[in-house]
Amino acid sequence: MTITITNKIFNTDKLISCILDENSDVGATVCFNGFVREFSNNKHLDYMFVEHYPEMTEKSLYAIEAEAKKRWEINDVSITHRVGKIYPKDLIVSVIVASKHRNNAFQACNFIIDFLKTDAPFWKKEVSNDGSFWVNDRAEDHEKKAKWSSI
Amino acid sequence: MIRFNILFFASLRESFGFNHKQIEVSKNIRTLNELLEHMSLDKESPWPDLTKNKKCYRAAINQELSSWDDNISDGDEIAFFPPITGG
Repeated sequence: MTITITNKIFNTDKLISCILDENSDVGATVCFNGFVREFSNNKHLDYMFVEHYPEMTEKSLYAIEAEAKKRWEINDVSITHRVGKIYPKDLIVSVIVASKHRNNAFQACNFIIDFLKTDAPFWKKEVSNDGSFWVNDRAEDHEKKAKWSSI
Repeated sequence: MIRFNILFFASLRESFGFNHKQIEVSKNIRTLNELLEHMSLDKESPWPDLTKNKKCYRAAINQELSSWDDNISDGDEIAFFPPITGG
């Protein structure tokens, strides 16, 4: 598993190539890419600022990956998350899962991003002409995570 | 003496104006709730507000998400922060 926390723009093609170089018998990769939207509540965003808790971030992402591996047969996982100042249309997060068959990769990727959103210690702040606001958590994200407990 | 290293993130860090605090207590503190209650005895500090609004925040003990009733012990790293909004 590869975890990368970076303040630089990153490229998912390279990450997928690494997974293919380092693993055998990969039949599918599923990649979720999350981008910074240009608008939030009808306001044009200047940029997003992301803060994290470094010592806890890796620990929580490893725990999420371990739980995904218990549930599905997967070969490898690569998670990259931006921190610091991030501009609209830039990639903020990517989750790449490799497996022998596509269904395991689809499910595991979905599971990992659902848990990342509520359990991995990142916080987003939106900065626009109107000022800056810490983003609130969304009930929908908690509901999505909770659904996995019954699966 | 029992010591705790306390960290604050995001909106809490911003409103307090600092990101960590060492707390030393002489009495036996067993849970996060008890620690917050003890900290809140200092009425001039930001802790009474944090305690009053703790439902709006989350905590971690030694980098693991925790609940307010969880046990803590000497030397633990404790973090307080608003709900997570990653991804």
